[in-house]
Amino acid sequence: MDMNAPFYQFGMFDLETALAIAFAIGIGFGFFLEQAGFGSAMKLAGQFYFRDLTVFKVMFTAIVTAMLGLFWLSRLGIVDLSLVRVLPTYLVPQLVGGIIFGVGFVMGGYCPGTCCVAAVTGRMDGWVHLLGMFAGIFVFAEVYPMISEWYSSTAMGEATLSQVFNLSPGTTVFIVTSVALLGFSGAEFVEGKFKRTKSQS
Amino acid sequence: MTFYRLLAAAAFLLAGGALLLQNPERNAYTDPSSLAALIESEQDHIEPLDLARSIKEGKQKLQVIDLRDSTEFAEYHIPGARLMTLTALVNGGVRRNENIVIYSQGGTHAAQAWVILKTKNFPNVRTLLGGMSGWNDEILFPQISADAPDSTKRAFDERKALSVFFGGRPRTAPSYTGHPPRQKPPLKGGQPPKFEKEGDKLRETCERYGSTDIFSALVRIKA
Repeated sequence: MDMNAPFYQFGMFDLETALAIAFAIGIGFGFFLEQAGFGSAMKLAGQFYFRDLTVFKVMFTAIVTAMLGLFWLSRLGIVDLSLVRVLPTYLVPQLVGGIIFGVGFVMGGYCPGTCCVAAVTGRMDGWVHLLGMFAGIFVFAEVYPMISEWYSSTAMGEATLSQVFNLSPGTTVFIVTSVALLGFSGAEFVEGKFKRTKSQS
Repeated sequence: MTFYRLLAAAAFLLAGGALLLQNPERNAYTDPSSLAALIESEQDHIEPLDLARSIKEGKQKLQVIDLRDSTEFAEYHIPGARLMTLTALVNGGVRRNENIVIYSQGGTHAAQAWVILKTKNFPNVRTLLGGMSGWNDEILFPQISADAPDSTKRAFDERKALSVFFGGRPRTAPSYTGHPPRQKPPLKGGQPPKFEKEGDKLRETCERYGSTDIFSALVRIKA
C-alpha cells in the first residue's frame, strides 16, 4: 500500500495513539504561542490600536508559509492537494461569525487558542475568557436547532480564492504573497508611527 | 532585520516561481504497463469473501461504491455502500486516500471505473470480483453439496454465518446432477429474502425431491 494519510484512517495506529499525538501537537502549539508572546492580552489587543501588529504578521506568515509550502510540495510530488481538507464556505453565517469573533477578540484580548495559553500560564483574564468561550459554546448548542437553516445558508462549497476569482493557483499564490509582503512592511511603518505618537503624548 | 528581509526575498522568489509554473500539479501520466502489472498480479480486485469478512470485522475503513441504478440499489446493496454514478465517482465522488471498493452488477462498469481512477493516481482502489452477481453467489446464497466431505462442511460454517449476516440464505444443494442452479429469490434492502408463496412451494418441492430442475418441480406441484 502506498504511503497515505491520515495514518489513523489506514489503521497505522489506534485511537489512543492518535489522541496522544494530538495532545503532543497541542502542547507544542501552545508552547510556541506562549513563546511568541500570545499569552498576553495586552500584546494581542495591541493590534487593534496599531501599536503591535504581531498577530497580523504571524497570521499572514502562517498563510504564506502554508500556501507556498503546499504549492511547491505538490509540485515536487510530495503532497497530494486533492487530499487537503478545504472547509466549506457559508458566506453570510461565516461573516456574522467573524464579526462576533472579532468583537470578542477586541473586548477580551484573546482568541480561543491564546486564551487557553493564557489560562494555563495562570492569567486570570485567560480563565474568564475560557469560561466565556464554554458559555458561548453552550448557548450556541442550545439555539442551534432554531438557526440551523440559516447556519448552512449561502453555501459556496469548498471554495478557494483561485476558484472564486477565476485565477490560476500560481497567480493567486503570487498575489497573496505580494500583498503579505507589502502588508508586513506597511505594518512595520504603522507600528513605528503609533509607537512614536504614544511616546510623544 | 536582515534575516527577515532574506525570508521575505525567499517567499517572493517562490511566489514568482509559482506565477511562472501556474499549476501546482504536474501533468500526471499513468504508465499503462504498471496498470497491466496490477491486473496480472490480481491487485485490482477483492474477492467477495474477503470483502464480506472485512466489512463484518469492521477493522478497516472501506469506501464501498455501488455503480448500479437506484432501483437495484434500493432492492439490495452491500451494507455501507454508497450509490454513485460513474460520472460522479470520477469527478470528486471519492478522495484519493480512501480505501475504495467499487462494484456494479457484473463488474464491467466497476472495472472501467477502476481504470479511470487509476489514471487519476488513486492508490487504493479495487473492484469486487464478479460484481453483485459474484456477491450473490459467494456471500448471500452460498451453496454446498449435500454429500460434501465433513471438512468442507465445517469450512462452510463461516460462509453460512456471513450469508445470514448480510441478509442472504445459505443453500444446500443435492449431489451434482448436471442441472443449472435454481433461480435466486428476490432481495429487499439488506433484509433476509422473503419468498413468494409460489417460490416457497417450488423450493420445498425441489428440496423434497432432491432436484434442482425447476421444470420437474413445477410438474410435481401441478400434480
